[in-house]
Amino acid sequence: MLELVGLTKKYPGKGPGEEIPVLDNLSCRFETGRFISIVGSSGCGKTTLLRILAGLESSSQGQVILNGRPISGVTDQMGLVFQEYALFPWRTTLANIQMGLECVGLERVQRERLAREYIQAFGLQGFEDHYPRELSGGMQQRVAIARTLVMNPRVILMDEPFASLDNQTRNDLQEFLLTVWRTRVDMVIFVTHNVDEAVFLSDQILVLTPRPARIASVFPVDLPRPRDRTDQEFNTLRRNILKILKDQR
Amino acid sequence: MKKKISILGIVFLLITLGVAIRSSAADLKSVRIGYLQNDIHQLACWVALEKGFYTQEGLEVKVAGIFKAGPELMSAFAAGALDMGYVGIAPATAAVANKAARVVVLAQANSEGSALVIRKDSPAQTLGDLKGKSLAVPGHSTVQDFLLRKAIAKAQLTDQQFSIMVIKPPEMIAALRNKDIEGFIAWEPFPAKAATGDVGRVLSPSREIWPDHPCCVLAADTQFLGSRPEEAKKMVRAHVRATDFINQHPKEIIPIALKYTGMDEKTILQALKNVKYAYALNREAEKEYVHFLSQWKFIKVEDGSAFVTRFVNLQLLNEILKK
Amino acid sequence: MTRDRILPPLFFLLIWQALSALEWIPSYKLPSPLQIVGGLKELIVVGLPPGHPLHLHLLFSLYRVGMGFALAALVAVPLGLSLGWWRRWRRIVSPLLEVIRPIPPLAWIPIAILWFGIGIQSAAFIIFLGAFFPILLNTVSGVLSINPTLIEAARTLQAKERDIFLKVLWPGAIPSIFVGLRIGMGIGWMTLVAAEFTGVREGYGLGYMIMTARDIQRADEIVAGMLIIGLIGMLIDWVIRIIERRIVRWR
Repeated sequence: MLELVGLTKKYPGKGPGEEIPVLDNLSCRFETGRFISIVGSSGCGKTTLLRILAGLESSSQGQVILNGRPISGVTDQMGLVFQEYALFPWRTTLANIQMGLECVGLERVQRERLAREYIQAFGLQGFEDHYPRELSGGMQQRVAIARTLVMNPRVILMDEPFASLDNQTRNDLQEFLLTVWRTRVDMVIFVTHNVDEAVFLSDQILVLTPRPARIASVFPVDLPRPRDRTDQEFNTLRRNILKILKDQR
Repeated sequence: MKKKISILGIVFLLITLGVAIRSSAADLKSVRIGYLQNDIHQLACWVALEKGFYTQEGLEVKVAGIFKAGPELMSAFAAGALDMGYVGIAPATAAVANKAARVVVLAQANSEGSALVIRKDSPAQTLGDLKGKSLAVPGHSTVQDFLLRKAIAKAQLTDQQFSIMVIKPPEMIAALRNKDIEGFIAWEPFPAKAATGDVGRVLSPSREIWPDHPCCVLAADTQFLGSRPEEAKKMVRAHVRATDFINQHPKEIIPIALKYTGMDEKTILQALKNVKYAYALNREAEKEYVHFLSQWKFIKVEDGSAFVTRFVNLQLLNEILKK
Repeated sequence: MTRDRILPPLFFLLIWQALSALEWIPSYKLPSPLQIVGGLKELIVVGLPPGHPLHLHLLFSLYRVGMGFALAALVAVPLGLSLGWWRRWRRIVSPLLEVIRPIPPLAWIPIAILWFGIGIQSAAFIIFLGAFFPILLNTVSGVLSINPTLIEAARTLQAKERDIFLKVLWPGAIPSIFVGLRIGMGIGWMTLVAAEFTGVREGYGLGYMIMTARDIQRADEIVAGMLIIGLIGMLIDWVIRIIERRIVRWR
């Protein structure tokens, strides 16, 4: 279980003593094994929230508590998939996936074996020795996800991972993500501005207000999987969320 | 069209380059001379300047360059930057034989006046003791380079048995002090300075290597000689007067030497003991220079005698001496 | 396409040869192409100074440049990586570097001789100075140009500082480092001739060879020597580029 307690983030402004609030006293709870989406308008602070959870930035106030223990800074409990994939251009697919395993000191034979398992599971066979620039956007994102998942974090953070892909690829990857996630017990916290995507993927949707971000609403999503985009309930939910976002502007 | 432009461009470039290379500024009023830095062999030039022998001849003499060694001075001749110069006969021979400069020798400036100097605490007694060591010369094809090789040949050794380096004389003493080299051969007053500065000692003065060897000469650009022979003659006459003055007034020349070398009196006095100032040049000696330079493959001269006849032109000198 | 590359230089050479043959360009100032070829032959067969053949001059010069360049790379790359990574360190060291950088390597010759005496050390030092700054600056810029997201990605993958250095900064900066190496080698090779003017103990070196040609006033051998220096410089650059293409396959 992941708990956010009074999470606040302020950036220093241009003038002396000036501060720009980005996150305002966020508190909520996420159950283990859930797929949670966070939606909000652009620039509302979703990415900042994710970065704080990942440990890349620190909060000004408040705490992040995972399974009863407060965490700060980078830990191996959290994995982060970046919007721009952030694959290391000088590493092949196989090497990229192994990056984290190298850093924790896993032995070569073992980490290669593990990496190859993921290559199989992610449909990347034949591309082990390819460099990122030789891969399509969709493939690169699969490598990025594999790279994060191979580290077995408790929480998988994803920052609009499919935003720069075309519709078809995005839909494919959404289904692929669900397939992969279903066999694991991790929690996924998925940031997106695409409401359709959020409804399709999640068990719970958090809607944030524009900056400074507060929780506007929380929507549980009980629809059965696989989700049907033509389903009436699906679209009702989608419309509700879109309305909230629209009213915010 | 593009091709035509690039062809024109290339031709234009070449012509510009050619014109630039050909042209050299000759000053038609003054006589441009050059001499070597701190080379006491060329005292006659300094005396002529200080005592006004040039102006007394009605000449306007401009010092167009002071050079670190003979080859540099010959390059200036080649570039057309000098009308006359005081330079070692060896580099002059090499330059003319290799068709780089067109000069003739009008008179000698001095004979002897160099020395092989080694480190003060070197145990060497002969050249053979210096086998495998580094010795410095002021440049290849200089008189000193020549003398060193002659000394090596006399001792029945080969050049390969030594490490001959090129260092300009002002830097030689420092190199000796730092033990970068074991010895050097240079013109006076550098050997004297090494001795009085307690850095080195003379192993052989050049007269022991080759007695009475010609060293520096007064050379003239052939174009200058051809177009302004009267002035050339006046230059030679001033040179003769200056050389006589040196031999007749040994004490009066000392301040002049001090001024132009910037060295102390003790060094200068010691240096002067090693130099002979005389203007008559021994043609046979020059033939030996030609012979050896050819042997060492620095120059290629078919007919040594013909070369010397062309290269050494003592006509003006003889005319002056007859009077 | 190759016709475009061969014809213009050929044309240029023909005109040059013609102008020289007509004595329009005096041969002692600028030798004709044929004379240069003759000079080159003599440098190879007879050697200059006689008995010192060209290939040995070349070997010694390559050795000196190699030493200076290798030292420059060994110092500049790690230093550049660390300067790129630690801003505070960069702020402290930058002013010192910026003062030294504009000093031309050749201006260091008197100091070099005082410190190292005459010989390969002072020559290698001059070459070191020439190669050092391009390598350093390009390494720093290589690090600074790495997408910060990559560093963050590495951190989320549990990279420690050591991992970041070895697995992100170093591979990420390599393309820039190679640019620096090529430039540094180019400058090092250029300063070679002047560096060898400081004095060459072993009696071998391309700079020494050219200096001797100047001493005995053989313009054809001077230009032939210059040509060799230019060709070898080009060859070295070509070799570095081939190595770069092998190593940086991911571009």
